[in-house]
Amino acid sequence: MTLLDWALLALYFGGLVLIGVQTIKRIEDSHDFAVAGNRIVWPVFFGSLAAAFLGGGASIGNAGAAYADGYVYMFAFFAFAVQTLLVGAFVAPRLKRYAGAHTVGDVMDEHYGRAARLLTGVLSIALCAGILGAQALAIGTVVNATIKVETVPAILIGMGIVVLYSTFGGAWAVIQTDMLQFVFLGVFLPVALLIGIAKSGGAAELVASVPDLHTSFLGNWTWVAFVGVFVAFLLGETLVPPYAQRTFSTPDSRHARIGMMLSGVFAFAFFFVAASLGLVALNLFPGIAADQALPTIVMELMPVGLVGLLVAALLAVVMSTASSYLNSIAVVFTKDIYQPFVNPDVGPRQRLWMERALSVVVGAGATVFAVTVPSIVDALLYSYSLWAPTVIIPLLGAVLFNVRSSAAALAAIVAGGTVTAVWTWGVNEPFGVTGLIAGVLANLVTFAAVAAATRPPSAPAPSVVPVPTSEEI
Amino acid sequence: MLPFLLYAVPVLVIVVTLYIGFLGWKFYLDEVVRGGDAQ
Repeated sequence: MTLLDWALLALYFGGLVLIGVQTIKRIEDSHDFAVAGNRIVWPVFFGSLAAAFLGGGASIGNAGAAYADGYVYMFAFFAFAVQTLLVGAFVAPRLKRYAGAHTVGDVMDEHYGRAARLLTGVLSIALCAGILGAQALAIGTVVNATIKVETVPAILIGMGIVVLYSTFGGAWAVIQTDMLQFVFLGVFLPVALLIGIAKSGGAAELVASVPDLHTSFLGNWTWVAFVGVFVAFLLGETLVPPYAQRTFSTPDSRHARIGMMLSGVFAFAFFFVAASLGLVALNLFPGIAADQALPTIVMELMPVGLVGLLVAALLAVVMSTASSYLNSIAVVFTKDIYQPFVNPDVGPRQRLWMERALSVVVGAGATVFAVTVPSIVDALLYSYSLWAPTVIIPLLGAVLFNVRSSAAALAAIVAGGTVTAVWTWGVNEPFGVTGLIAGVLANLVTFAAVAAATRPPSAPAPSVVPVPTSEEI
Repeated sequence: MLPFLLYAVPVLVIVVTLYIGFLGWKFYLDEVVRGGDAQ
């Protein structure tokens, strides 16, 4: 890295801190801290959501998988974009019916009661903590793989900045820094691809130089393997706490629908760019480790100046995800656990300061665990596989069909979680069926059966407060 | 087809990102720097 590259990287970090400082004045209470006062219009929702879900897996992981196996992993990854499109079209607009909602637990409580809120809150926090810790580790990995700085100081600096702006500016800072990070990753990774194609002698030469299997639909995968990964991407991150929280931050259903659907369309294109970078690496740098594909392109192919910007783009991918999950942990703990079960009389100002304190404590904790005991992060990441088999079906039942059976929700959460755990870690996923698929099926069957058995003679009218759409206004 | 996509898709991503970034910048000026006066 030259002095210019270091200066540009420092400029990026300075921009994040500046945004954090400037957004402090927009935070007056917990509502601003959690959902930015419902002021986030669709372009900002689109960009910030894309920055949040385009993490290390979608960029470095995707490029590495394409390096090893070709476009097949990208086609499986498209399931995430399909899910985002579907949720944007059918679920996100309806989430805006829940006035004052900040968390998935708010919706679950409205339909299924306090126990469902508590379970959803605990699952949300475990999931977010695991992903936050993984992102902290990823900061160290990215920096070490590119500019060869030791992982510990890299994690400390990167997470320090994330905690700083997340604590002071809450959702306002997280969303606004996401926008800066969105521009970095959405401009400089495609620029890297175009440079890589030029260095390969052109697109036609690049395609001709890689094995045919790498550009085929299935590559060397079997259909069973493809479907397993496809379903995992289709369901695994559906409406996880940061995405739901971001949806709640929009002013109305129109902004929620447009922003989320466009981010789904954008994801298809971004996944293609990242995977194609893997093919460039395969052509120009055969024999490297697959997960080094993208870092190698950055360090070996980019001209002076672009190296610093691309390292910033790779860090943007990771840091935007980290700050989103950090903010969600603070909000979910306060809204779904502390306020309803510990101190119901907590005021909005008190809640704000509690969320800020939690951001510091959780951010520091994630950093310490990532540096000293990464196995704890690994353990927490198991909760990632529990989200889809527990919460999603009852949540969709509530939002799409106005189901109000708490027995159905609780039974489904317990059944889905138990079957996933036993199928995955007890019997080691027999018949090639993943724990996620088995758990979702158990969750669905239990929910439908108990909901049908406990259905009242006439369904009560929704007690949620309808919020007019912008068209109605 | 694939060689065409290898040029078209990254260019499209850059254009869309810059346009959304521009809208986001206007939003940032209105809502954060000027404090949402239009609210």
